[in-house]
Amino acid sequence: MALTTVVRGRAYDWSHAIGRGAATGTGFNYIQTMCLGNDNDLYTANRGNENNFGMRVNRIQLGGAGEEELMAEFFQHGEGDGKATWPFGVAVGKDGRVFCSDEWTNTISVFDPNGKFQYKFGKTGSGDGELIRPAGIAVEKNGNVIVVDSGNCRLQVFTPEGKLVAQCGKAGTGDGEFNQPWGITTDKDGNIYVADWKNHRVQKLSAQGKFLMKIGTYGELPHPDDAYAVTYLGPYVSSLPESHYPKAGLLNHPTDVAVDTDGDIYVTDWGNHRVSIFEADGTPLTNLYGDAHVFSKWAKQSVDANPDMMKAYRRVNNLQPLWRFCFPTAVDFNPATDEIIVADSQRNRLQVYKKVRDYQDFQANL
Amino acid sequence: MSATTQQSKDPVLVVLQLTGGNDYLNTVIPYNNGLYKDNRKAVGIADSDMIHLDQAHAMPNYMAPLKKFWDDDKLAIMHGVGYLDSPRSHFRSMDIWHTCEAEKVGTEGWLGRVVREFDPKKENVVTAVSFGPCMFRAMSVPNVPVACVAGPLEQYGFLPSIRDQAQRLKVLETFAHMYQPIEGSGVMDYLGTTGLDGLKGADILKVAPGMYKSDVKYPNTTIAQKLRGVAQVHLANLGTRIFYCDHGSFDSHAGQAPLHAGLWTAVTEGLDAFMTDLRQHNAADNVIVLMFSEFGRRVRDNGSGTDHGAAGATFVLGEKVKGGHYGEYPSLDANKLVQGDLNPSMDFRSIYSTILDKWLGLNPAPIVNGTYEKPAFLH
Amino acid sequence: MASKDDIGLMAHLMRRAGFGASRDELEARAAKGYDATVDELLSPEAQPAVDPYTLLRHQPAALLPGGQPPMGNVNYMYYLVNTKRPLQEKMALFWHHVFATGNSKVDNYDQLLEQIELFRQHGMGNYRDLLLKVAKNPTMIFWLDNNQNHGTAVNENWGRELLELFSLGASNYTEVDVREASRAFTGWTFETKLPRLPYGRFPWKFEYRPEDHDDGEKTFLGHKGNFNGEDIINIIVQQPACAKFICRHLYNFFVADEPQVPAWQIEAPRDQAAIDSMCKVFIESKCEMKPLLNHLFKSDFFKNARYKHLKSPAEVVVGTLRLVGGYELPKPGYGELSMQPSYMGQDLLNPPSVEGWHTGQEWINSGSLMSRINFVAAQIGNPDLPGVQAIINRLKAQGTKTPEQLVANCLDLLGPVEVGADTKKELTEAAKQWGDISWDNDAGAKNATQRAAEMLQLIAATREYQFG
Repeated sequence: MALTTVVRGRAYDWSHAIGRGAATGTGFNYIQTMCLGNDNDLYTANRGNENNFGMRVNRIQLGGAGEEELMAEFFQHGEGDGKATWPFGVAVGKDGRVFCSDEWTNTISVFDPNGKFQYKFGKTGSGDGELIRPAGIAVEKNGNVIVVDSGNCRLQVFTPEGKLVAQCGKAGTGDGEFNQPWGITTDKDGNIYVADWKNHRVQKLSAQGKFLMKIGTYGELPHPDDAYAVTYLGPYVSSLPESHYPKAGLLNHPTDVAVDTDGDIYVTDWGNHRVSIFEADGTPLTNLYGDAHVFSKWAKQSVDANPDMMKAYRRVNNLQPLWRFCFPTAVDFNPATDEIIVADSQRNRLQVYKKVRDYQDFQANL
Repeated sequence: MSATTQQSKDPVLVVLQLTGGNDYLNTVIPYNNGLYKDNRKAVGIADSDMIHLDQAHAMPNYMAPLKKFWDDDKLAIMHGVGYLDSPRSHFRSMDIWHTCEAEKVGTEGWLGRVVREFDPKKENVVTAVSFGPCMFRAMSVPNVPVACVAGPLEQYGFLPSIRDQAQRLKVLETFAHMYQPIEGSGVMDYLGTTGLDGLKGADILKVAPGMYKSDVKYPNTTIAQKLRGVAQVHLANLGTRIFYCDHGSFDSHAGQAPLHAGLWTAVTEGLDAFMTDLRQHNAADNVIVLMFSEFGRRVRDNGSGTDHGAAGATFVLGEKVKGGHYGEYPSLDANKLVQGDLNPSMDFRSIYSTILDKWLGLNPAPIVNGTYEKPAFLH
Repeated sequence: MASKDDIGLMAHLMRRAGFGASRDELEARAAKGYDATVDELLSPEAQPAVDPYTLLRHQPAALLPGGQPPMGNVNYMYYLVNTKRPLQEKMALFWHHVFATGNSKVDNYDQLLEQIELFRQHGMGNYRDLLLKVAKNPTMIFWLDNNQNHGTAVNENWGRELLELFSLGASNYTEVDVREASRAFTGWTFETKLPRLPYGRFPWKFEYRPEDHDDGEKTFLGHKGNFNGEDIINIIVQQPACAKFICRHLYNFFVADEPQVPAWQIEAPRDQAAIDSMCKVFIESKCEMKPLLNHLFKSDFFKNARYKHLKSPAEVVVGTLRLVGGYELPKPGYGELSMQPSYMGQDLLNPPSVEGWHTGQEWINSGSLMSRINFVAAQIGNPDLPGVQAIINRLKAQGTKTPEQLVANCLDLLGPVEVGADTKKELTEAAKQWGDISWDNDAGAKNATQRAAEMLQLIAATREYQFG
């Protein structure tokens, strides 16, 4: 795969990585979802592990490569207000309120941008306004909050204070039906996009919840026999060129979706370890596979402190497995910078690509 | 207050394992060494946050309760402890500390061997008591009984899931009947004996909380509560010679400052309460506490914490301990480091050897698999 | 409707060839028939595999768990509890016992899980092929130092254990054979792996380095040639000792407890005829495992071996969790749950040494016995769990009333468990203290549920229940 991917008038240029594996502080621990804030900042919801380590939401100030700073950490593991068992969703309203879902306690906790707990709502169940394993969250322009009520296979819309306003969807494979949906986003017109995880597709709904379009069909990425499995569930790295891989369109447990200012759609094709890009009408464009060939700022601190690591890196035959996405869970488009930010969950980092609209090709006979 | 029964004076060893790799540099701080500050930009202890032990070493403020032992000459600090070719793996390293076997995978724990020496006929099933969900490898030797107390001592025994105590007692009576040995039945007989041993251990241990009276308030931390359990059993005079407990995780890769502070606050406050308790019961003289961790941590911090290292510090404290420094602080010079780590200058089996020889009265060589120097940290 | 004995036999099969089954499942299987069930167990691919994606959605740290428990154990336990291919999973556990590889040295649960996955994929195939895959498995190579086995400096660790513990057993080869086999495996190593910092773990990849291989002539078990590792394996599997060794392992694991492996060169098998008949099938099928397992499960020596095997901690924990239900999805506390076998003396993915676990009676000491009884009792005495509720509903439907009925029905529904007359007497005495139970009104049913839960716990605490 290439550091710059060019397709139909668009170019995607790998920019930089952010983060490293860390159970607390400067890094991430299994990001489940993420959300851009109002101030060139980014919130990530970290799942952590069974030792009750690493669970938290962190707020990162964004900037150019190496300019990221950790601003706040909250929603750590614990009992009581402001604490989480299993953090999953995070979304920010225009007024700065941060909504966080906990898929074990089936509640939504609300914080200010500095991580100070405000209030929470939601309880366990399948009745109106009740939740089972709530996943992604999106905030509508009017301030209402759409919660992916994953265990109930539906979306529920609440006022910011937690009063149920609307709901749509039920369990199934038909249009407008869901099977354990994960991430959610809205576009500038208020349309809703949902990563319908176990149905292996993305559904586009109107702001009113009416089915409009679906993207993707189930498929595992084929890989050559001699491909190298980075984990026993992929990604698979082979020496074959990108053209060997199928175009976007096959999805394997998609987890999140983002829409850019041109209407192009980005889907984290989690089980296939890639980000698939589609035109606004659902036509497949291309894929990104991860290109993190330069350490992030915080990653470099780890390597600098451990001389053995660099020694090992210098002996490795093929560094490509290091660059690749491994179960990417979330994607966002930053309209202020034209950046596509991907949460590379198993690698505990973000990979940032720039969308270039006026890409000038180089001379082919170089 | 004094103990109601004649307290046995057999020497007792309490092991407190600091699981996860304790950061030596931030525990015994070489505060005059410029390299300390150079390497610890993110997780260094500031001058105002440390207590000086002497001209060269300091402890972080959050270890203050330990300073009292130092001032009373009852704390021995062993420097640069480890072994050759430290593997920097928690498991492997802990295994080596537990089995004294650095070259191959060992099968017998060093304390299990001690128990076998003390009680070859298995007459006292509570010669060793471990506070944790399972047997630590250090105690594990086939056919050597060790009582493992997973929860509160009060609930130790079979079938705590039957909550009604009267009902549980009845059921345990049935249990005892059902486990009567069946002569010549092989496995069933063995099961019977083992089950009754377990019942016996539980019967013995369960008297301890009832006999225990103390004015000492232990903090509400897991380690302090484990140490309180140790005190209860020790004061009950049941013939227990080896106690084992652990605390952690000291694996401070990230966010080290608050993590390390919280852990050491809990450990040192717990130890303070424990030793005070024993002294008040006139039962401290025959107890020493060994505190170790499987390795130290990397010299240079990673911007948030520290990664796995090699040499560490080991502590022994108690009334009969000769306080002071033992061994040498390994050099922090870049060209003296091994893969960025302090190079061990004292083999951990030296410390075991002193304890075995001078405290428990056993020949160290067959227990630690060799002959090592014996630093003289015991009176 | 299946007879009581059909159910008893089916329960035996499912305990051994899997991790037990609920009464509903036993009845359905008994209706299909014993041989049909064996055939189904031998065709795991007809059943869906465990869905790893559901595990990773809720517990992402289970994929690359690193060197510290319990996330690796969570991953393994999730498969054990949820598998619909019980024999495949049981065979993977069998090979984990044989090719015992431990985290104590490997310090990578990722690599150990990958090895278990290899056993799942190939554990019911051909033994020769499996042995070759194990020889190329980087986790095994590191565990037994074959990455330090060089053409110029032989390290015999792998070569020795291959013969002693993985294929032939002691006394069936000479020290020269160990040396020569080791020479043949020089150059079998792995590529440098990407280091774990700062982005998490990466796997090893097998690598053959011809320049590090000793290409000279070797003499191995009477054969001469410029052998490479694969040639050694081909010679090994033709040895009668190899068939005996593997069949005795299978017998010990699936049929009845044998003495520990080191004693096999002195002590004869418990049932020589059974081992001989197994060896015949193994040799005729050229090391295929399925015909051998088919022969084993359909033989009389297997059917007659009920309760002649002391349950391993993995069997205790997994069997209990599958029986009581409610552990199909990851949930908080799954880590502690998946460490339970280690508290009973079987630290999965971390056997004490390459010899594997000592089995049978050696599972039991006072600590491990207490752990296993208390764990099972806590689960089985909890009527909120669906499987326990199902048992209580059956007791109610059966109109269980008298102490004798309570004991008999609880014994039946937990197995059926077979207990000695003395034990039965004690259980009945205990039940008599409670008197007759009644399900008629809320208060009665509440009391009956309580008594039933206590009886189930008491049965789980019997000596007999430790056998499977």
